[in-house]
Amino acid sequence: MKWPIAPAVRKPGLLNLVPVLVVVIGLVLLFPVRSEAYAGPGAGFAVLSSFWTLFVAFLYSVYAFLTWPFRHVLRLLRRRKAYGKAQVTRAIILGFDGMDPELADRFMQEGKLSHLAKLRDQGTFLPLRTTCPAISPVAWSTFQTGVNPGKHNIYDFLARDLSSYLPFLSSAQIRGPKRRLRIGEYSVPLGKPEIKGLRRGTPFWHWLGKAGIFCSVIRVPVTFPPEKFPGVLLSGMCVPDLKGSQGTFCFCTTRGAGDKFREGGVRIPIERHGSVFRSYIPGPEDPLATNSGSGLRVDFELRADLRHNQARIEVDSQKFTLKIREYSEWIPVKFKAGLGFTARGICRFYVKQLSPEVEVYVTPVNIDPGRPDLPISHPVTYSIYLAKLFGPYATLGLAEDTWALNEEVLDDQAFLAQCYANHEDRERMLFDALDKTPQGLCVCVFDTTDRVQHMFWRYLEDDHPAARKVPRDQRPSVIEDLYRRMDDLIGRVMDQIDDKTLLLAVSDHGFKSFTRCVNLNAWLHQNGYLALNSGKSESGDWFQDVDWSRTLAYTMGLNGLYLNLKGREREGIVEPGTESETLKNELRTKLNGLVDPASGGIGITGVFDCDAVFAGPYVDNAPDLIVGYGAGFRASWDSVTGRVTTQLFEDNTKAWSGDHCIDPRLVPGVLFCNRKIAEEKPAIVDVAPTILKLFGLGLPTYFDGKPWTVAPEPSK
Amino acid sequence: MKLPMIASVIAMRWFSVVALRLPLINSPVMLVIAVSLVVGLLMVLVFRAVSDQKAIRAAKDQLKAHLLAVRLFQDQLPVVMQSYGRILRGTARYIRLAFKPLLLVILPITLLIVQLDRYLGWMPLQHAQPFLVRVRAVSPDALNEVSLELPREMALSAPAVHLPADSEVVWRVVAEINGTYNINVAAAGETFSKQVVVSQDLARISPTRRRDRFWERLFTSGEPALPTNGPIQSIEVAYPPRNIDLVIFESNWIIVFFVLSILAGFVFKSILGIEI
Amino acid sequence: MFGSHKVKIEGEFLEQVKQCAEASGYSSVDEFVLHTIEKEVKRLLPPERGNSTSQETVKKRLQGLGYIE
Repeated sequence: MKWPIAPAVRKPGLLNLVPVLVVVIGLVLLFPVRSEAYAGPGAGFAVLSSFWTLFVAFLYSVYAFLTWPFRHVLRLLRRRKAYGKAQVTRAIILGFDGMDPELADRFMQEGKLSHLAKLRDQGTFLPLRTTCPAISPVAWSTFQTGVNPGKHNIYDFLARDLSSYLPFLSSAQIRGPKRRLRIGEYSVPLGKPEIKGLRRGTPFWHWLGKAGIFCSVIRVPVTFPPEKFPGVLLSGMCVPDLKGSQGTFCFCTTRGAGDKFREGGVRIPIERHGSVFRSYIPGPEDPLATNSGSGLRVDFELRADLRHNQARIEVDSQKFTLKIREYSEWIPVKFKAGLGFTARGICRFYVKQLSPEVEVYVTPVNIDPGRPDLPISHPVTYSIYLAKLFGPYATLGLAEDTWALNEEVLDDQAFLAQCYANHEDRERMLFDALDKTPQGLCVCVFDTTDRVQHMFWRYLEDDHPAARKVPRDQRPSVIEDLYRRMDDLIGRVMDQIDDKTLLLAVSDHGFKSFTRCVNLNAWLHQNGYLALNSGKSESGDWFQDVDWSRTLAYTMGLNGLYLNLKGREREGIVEPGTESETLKNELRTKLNGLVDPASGGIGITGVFDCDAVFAGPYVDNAPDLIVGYGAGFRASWDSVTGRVTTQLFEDNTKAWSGDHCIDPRLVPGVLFCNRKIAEEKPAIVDVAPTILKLFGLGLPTYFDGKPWTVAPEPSK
Repeated sequence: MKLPMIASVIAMRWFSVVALRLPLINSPVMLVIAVSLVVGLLMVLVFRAVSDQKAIRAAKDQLKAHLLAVRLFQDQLPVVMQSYGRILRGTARYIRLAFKPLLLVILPITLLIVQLDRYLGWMPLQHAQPFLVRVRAVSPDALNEVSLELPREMALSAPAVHLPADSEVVWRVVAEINGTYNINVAAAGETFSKQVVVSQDLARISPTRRRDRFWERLFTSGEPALPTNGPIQSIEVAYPPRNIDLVIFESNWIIVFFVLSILAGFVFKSILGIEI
Repeated sequence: MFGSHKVKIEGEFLEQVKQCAEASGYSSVDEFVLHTIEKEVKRLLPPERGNSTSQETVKKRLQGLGYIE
C-alpha cells in the first residue's frame, strides 16, 4: 500500500534567469572596482551559514582526534573482556511484536516467506516461550532484563493503586512539579516534571555498554524514560503523547454533537464562517492554570475546494493542501501558554470528507523528536539526530491509532497507511543503526506486526463477529501482506550481514482470534466473590459501585486477578495466610475450564498462582492469580476497566479482533536465527544471557534465563 | 535584466525626491542603518521567494544530523570518518541550493547599492575649499587643446598642471557658494560638461564622467557617457570620500552596511522562519 | 527541585549488602537499596485516603491504550 502524502509544491520557474545572472555576477567580479563588495551581504550570508557548519565540524574533529587515542586505549582495555572471548562481532535482534509461529510456519510452507524460510533451513526456527502473562510490556521487559516479572515489576500495562483501587500505567509515571509560584492569574511551575520509570532490573545492553560494546537500541517497549548507558536508545511502547495519554486522536467535524468516543479520541466541532471552516486541536493542560481542566489548543482553518476534492489547511503559520483521504506530512504545532511557556508537538491531518459534512481526523499530538519536551531517547540528541536525518517521525509508544479504526473514524485503508508510514520510518532508523553499528549490538522492535494482527485478524476467519459485515470475497489478505513485508525486511537485513554477525528475529508472543469477551468481574459478582452496593446490579468503570467491605476478589487489566487482601488493599477483608490461600485455590478450581455456554468453547484454560510463577523482590506488586483465557477468548472490554456487567460472555464486534492476552502456553512467539541453536524449548527470558555469552561476558547471577548453545558459524 | 535596473533607478529617484526630505534620512549614519535593515529584510524575503525552502531545510537538517553523528558515535572511528565525508558532501549540496537564489538576491541589491553609493560613497564639495578636476585625454598630444570653462560661482585657485605621461591635465578649483553646477571642458572644438555638487547636505554625486564602458560607468558614474570618438576619456572631480562614524569605529559605509545588513538578515530570517 | 542524596556504603557492610541484593534477585546494589528504602517509606508514610489521583485523570492517562476501552 502506498502512503498517500500530499505532493511537495514546486516553485515556479523563476530560476530560469540563473544563467544570465551567473554571467552578470561573473562580469562584476571580473572588474575589481570599488563596488566589488557590493555582492557582499548576499554572499556573506551563504558563506556564514555554510562556514558555521564546517566550523562546528572542525571543532568536533579536533576534539575527536585529540581525545581519540585516550578513548581508544580505554575502549581496548574494556573490550578485552568482551571481544576477547566473543563468538560474534555484531548481533542484530529484530523484534516483531506479536509475530505468530503458526502463521509464519503456514506462510513459509506456502512459499510466501522466502527469507524466513532460508533462516529456518540454514539456522533456526522455533516457537519462543513467552512470559506469564503474554502481554507485550511484560514480555519485552523480560526480554531486555533476562528475568521473570517478579524481578522487573511489570505484570500488565496497568498496575493498581492499593489506596484507591484505581489503575496507573505500570511502566512510567509522570508528575508535574510539586512546587508552584503564584503570579497574578498564573501558577508558575517551579522545576521540571518528574518522570519515573517503574520497570526494574537492568537491560542487558547496559552490561554490554559497560564492557565497551556499542549498542543501538530502537523502540524496544518499556524503555521510557530512557536510561543512561554507553550507547544510543530511542524509547518505544509507553512513550506518552503531548497530552500525557497513550494516544488521544482528535476528530473535527461539522456534524452535530453525537456520542462521545468511548475511548481514544475527542470529538471537536468545526464551525463555519463563510467559506472558511474553523476548529482546533486540543493539547496538554495549561501548565500555568490555577485549576485543572483548562487545556491548551491550536486553532486551524480549512478552506474546502470541492472541485478538486481537496482542502487548504492553515495551522500556526503553515499552509498545506490536502486531498480527501490523504494524510499530511507531520505538521509541527506549538501550544502556547502565557509567560512564554510552550509545548511543541507534531501531528498529521487526514481529511475524511468535505461534503455534505466536513470531517478531519488529526493523529494524537506526538512529542516532537526534533525538539522533545520530554526525554524520549538516550542521549537526548539521538531523537534529534534521527529527526534531522529522516524528518519528523511518530514518537508515541502506541503510535498506530487502533481506536480510530475501532470507532470507524478511520477505515481499514487509512489505518494501514498510518501503520506502514510509521513502519517505514522505523525501517530507515534500523538501517541507519546497522550502518552506525559495524560492531556491537543493534536491536530494533517493530510494532506493526502487533497492531495489524490485532485489527485485521477478523479477515483470517470465516465467521468472526467483527467481520460479518464484510462479504468473504471482499476480505483483504492484510495479515499475509504483513508477513510478506516483514520477510522482505529480513531479506534486506540479511543482505547486509557477514558470517560474524548473529541475526535473531524474535517476537514477544504469538496471536489468536478474539471473538468472545469474558467479563470476569461479572463472574466474580455472580459467584459471590464481588459485591455491589445495595440496589445495583452493575457497576461503572473502575469499580464505581463496588462494595469493598463485602468483596473478596476483583480483576482489572488484562489477566490479573486480585484478592481484596486485608492490610494490603485499602478496604481489604481477606486475611493473608490460610484464608487467602484457600480462596486462591477455590478460584483456580472454579475458573479453570470455564465453559462458554453459547459457543461451547473453554473460556479459561489455566489459572496461575503468582506465588508459583513469579519470584523476586517485586512479587508483592503482582496480581494474586493470572488468568489464562482459551483461544478465541479474552478479558472483556468492560472487565479490563473494572466494570461489572450482568453478561459473562459476549461477542467481540470491534475491529480489534485478534489478541494474545490469553493462556501464555497458547501464544508462544517466534525465534529465527541465522545459526543453529541447540535448544528444544527456548524462552524469551533466555535472549539476554545468550547475547551476553556470545559477546564473551560473564552472566549476572540474578538472571532467570539460560544461554542457548549457538553454533559458532552460520550453516551454509 | 533591465527590469531590476529600472526598478532601482525609480527607487532612487523616489529616494532623492521624497526620502531625503526627511530629517532622519538626511543623516548618513541613520541612512546606512535604515538601508541595512531594509536590505536585510528584503534579502531574506527575496531569498524565500526564489529558493526551494524545503530542500534547503532538508539539506541543513542532514548537515546537522551528520554533525550529531560525529558526537553520538565518536568511539567508532569508521563511522566518524564517514560522517565527516557526509558533512563535506552536505555542505556542497547546501551551497549549491543556496547559490542560485543568492544570485537572484545579489543582483538587485548590487544595483541598489550602486545607486546608494552615489549618496553615501562621497561627500559633496564644500564652498571655499579647493578641489581638483582631472581630465584624461585620449593622447598626450590632445592635452594642449584642452581648456576648462567654469561657471561664475567657481574660480581656478592654481594654474593647470599637465601630466603628459598620463595624458592628464589637472585644475584646482574653488566654489564660492553651494549649488549644483556644470563645468565645461573644451577640446578639439567640442565642449563636454561635468556635474559638480557643492553642498552641506546629502546629495547624489557622480565623481566621474567617462566614455561608454558600461561596467565602469555603472559603478562609478551617474552621468551620460562621453562620446566614444571624442578627444576626452574621462572628467573626474575629486570628491572627498565619506566615512561613517559609529562611535566605536569609523569606516566606509559599505563595510558598515555589509555587517549590519547581514545581522539584520539573520534576525529577520529567525523571526520570519526563513531557511537560509 | 528536591535535589539528590548519596549514601556511602563501604567495607564489610557493602559486602553484606551485595550478598543480600544477589540473593533477593536484584540486578544491582543500587536497586536493592532504593527498593528497600521505598518499602520502608511506604510503611511509615502510607498514602492518605482521598489523596490519590482522580478517576478523571486516570482515564485521561490511559486514553488510547488499545487494549482497554
